[in-house]
Amino acid sequence: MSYFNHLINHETMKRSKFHIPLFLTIAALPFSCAENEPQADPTIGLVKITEGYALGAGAKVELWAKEALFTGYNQLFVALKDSVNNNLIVEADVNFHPLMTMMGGMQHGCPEEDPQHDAVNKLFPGAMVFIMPTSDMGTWELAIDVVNEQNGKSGVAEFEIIVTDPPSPMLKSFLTPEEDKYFMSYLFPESPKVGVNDFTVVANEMASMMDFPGVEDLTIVLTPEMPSMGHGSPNNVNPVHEEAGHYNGKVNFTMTGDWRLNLEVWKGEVLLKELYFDVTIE
Amino acid sequence: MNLAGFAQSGPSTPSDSLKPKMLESVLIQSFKIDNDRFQNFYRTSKSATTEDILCHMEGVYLIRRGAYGQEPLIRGLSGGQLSLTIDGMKMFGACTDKMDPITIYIEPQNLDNISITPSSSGSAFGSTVGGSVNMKLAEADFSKPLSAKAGATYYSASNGFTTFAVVNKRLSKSAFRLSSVYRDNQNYSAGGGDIVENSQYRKLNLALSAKWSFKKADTLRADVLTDYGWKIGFPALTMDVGVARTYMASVTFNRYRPEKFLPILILKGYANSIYHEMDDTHRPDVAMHMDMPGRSFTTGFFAEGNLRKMDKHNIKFRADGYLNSALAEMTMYPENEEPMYMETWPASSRLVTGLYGNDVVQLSPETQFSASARVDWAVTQLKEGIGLDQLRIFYPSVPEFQPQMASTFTAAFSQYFLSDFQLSIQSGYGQRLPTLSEYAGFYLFNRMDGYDYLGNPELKTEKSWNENVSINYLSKRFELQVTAYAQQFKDYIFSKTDEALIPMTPGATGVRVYENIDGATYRGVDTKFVFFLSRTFQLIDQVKYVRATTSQNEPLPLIPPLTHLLSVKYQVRNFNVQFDLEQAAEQNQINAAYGEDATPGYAIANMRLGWQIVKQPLTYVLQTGIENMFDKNYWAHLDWGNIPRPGRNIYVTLEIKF
Repeated sequence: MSYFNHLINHETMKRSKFHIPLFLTIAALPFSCAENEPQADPTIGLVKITEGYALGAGAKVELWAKEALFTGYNQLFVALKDSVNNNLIVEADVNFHPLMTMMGGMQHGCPEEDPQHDAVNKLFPGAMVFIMPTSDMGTWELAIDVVNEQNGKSGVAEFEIIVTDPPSPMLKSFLTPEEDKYFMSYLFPESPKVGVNDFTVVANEMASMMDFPGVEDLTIVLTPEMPSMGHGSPNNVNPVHEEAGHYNGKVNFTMTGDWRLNLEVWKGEVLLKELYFDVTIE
Repeated sequence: MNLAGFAQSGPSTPSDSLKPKMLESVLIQSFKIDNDRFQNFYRTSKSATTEDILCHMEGVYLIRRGAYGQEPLIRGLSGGQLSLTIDGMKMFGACTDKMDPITIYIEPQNLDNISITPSSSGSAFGSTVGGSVNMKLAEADFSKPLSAKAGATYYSASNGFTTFAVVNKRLSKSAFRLSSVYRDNQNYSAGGGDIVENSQYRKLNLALSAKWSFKKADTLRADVLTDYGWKIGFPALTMDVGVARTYMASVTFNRYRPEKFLPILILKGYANSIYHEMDDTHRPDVAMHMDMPGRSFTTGFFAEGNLRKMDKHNIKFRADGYLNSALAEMTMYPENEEPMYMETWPASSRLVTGLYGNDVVQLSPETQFSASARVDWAVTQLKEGIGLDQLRIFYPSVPEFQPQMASTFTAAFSQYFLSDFQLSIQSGYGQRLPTLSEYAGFYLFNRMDGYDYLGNPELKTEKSWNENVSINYLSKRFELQVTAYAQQFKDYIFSKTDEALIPMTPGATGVRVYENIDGATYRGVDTKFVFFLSRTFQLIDQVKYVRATTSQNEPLPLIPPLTHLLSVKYQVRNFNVQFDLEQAAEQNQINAAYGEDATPGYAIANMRLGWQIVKQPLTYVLQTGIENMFDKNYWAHLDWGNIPRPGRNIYVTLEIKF
């Protein structure tokens, strides 16, 4: 009964711990903060990347993800815990500041999607598109700054992170005719399987070394195929822009095995690039 | 006592066209004898296959994809259009390419007779448009305390042999029958001597039937059967069959109370399971190796009976239900890549329950009227999983459960006139459920037209009106029967190319999707002339013809041409000799879009000799003969891929029995 423990801890100083009437206790239950109810662990199925303290904000920051960080679109989840009582904080401003320092000293960031103000299922979901892996050429750091709504304090947690290339590329980049650098990555909201799958293509441009806004005016044509069989699948839905460089569509897999997602990236009447991503469906 | 009359629901088949002046009990008995006599005639050798018997039956043809596993047609209709049963039990093949029609699991050694009832008259076992084929199994025999037979046949065309043995043992209140048949055939040679590669097969069939009798002539029967075929070649297809295996079990209770309202009541529970696996490892040029296993499991129950004869009415009824579950998988192994798995039949189940009733009214000794009705209620389930997810790519809202109803009605009238002639008119309406391939098949490659076929869960039941007129002439020595029939379809299940879809099978031309079309019509004539001069001389001559077209008058695919079968048998004392002539006209009514080409006509001749020697207590039967005497290289229109049939085949059979 962690609820009672919580009350006891707070009341120890006042020495009136056990005399709180039971009915008040029960009545207070619906109004108590969510952190006092026994709950399912929201991080089940996720991998903890790193953790540290956002000094000054009174919060411990845990960075979780679906898998170890890779070059491409990473879905991330930040857990903020009160550094005193370890309860999950569900209202905060969380901002990502990724930074790669290259061998020659040059620094750049990558596309980032900061979480919203309110936690979803006790975690703050966000994303980052790492455009290069950790290597001799450069290393990544990540600063997560937190404004804790509970106490109004703010602080920054700093981490060193490692990004590796996935077995099959999940990020491709190219230069437009106007010499803009575009990054294309993708994600499956649910693990891809045989049948109909929601599919999102993410397009970012490198506006400056630290600024990578989403590209919102592209037309994307999706043609999946199985390279060894030479056939595709029917009834796919071309990804269409929804917001912030996210293009949502549907991709259909008629069987397990190795598939190639061919993408044509158009701006207006101009075909900017043809590229593909390879996926293995199990 | 064999109550074989149940399979009919009207006087539409030749074998029960007996003079009604006979006593009723003899009527039932004689029907069985005649049916058997006709079929026994065509058990050309002791080692004939079930298909050898079928193809000589009226209105019946066979589609041949290999030396083994030919699929029967009645009047040009096949597959899901027919109701195929074994002792009234439903059974469904496990192969997406139809390499395992259920007729392959029954050997003539465990067969009592085959009842064919065409079109809507054949709804005793299920709602149908094409009719029913019911293979009645042999039962344990109470007549002798112990009897047995064993034999072997050698065939020159396939350098193959068949061995069989049957033992029947009777105890005071029970009898047991055990049969075994083993077949082993190599590749056969066609006319001219060329060997047809990949035409070998091996097969073992074991069947045990036990019967207990109680007072009042009630009986309880238990049957188990297993059939195991392996390394079965299919020269017309791109792969062979590695294993085709079935287990069947059933329990039947017969209650016989002639004094009661329900004199005959039969209750039967059964289950059968088929495992089928295709095999491409023996083919030289395989682009990509595939594993293709299929499974089909059926369990069911029925209660059927005759009501007591009431004021000229003879009413039979049946209440039945079955559950069939199936799954066919395909795993492809590309070089240097992950294997690819898909379900060519999604994991599915179909539950069907039905009611059937039939009334034969003997208005006078010469006039008979009959009517039957059947209603089936079906629910087809596509189970959650990869198979259903695959289909949802094409049909996003296909439900997991889909109910359907199918019903069949028939009325028939038969009149004797001029003392020896009988006129029969029959008319009816039937519906049939789509098969699993038609409903949910996923990229099933059809070798005949080179297209991948896709099922359609929105298919409606196929519906057909049919009419049948038959004139029989019966005298002591001979019988002549001419039957003309027509069938018009609504929602005929056919297919159409979908240009927007890309095929999956390497080398396929495109994708065809099943759909319902209107206006398909089948018309035909079957004639049979039978002459029996006691046992000395017997002649059977049959002509069969069917023509089938779409509403645009285009020929439908896989329709056989005019066929003529003549058999003449001469018997004196212990010796008999038989000559057969088998002819087919050329078939140029073809549908080229469905991969057909014209087939030349052919004529082949067989000669058969038989001796029977009795040396108490044993009887020896020696049979020998030459099939395709002139070694003609030929194929029938329904033989896939124009693969030729066997050339000259000399066979020798020896059977010993007591």
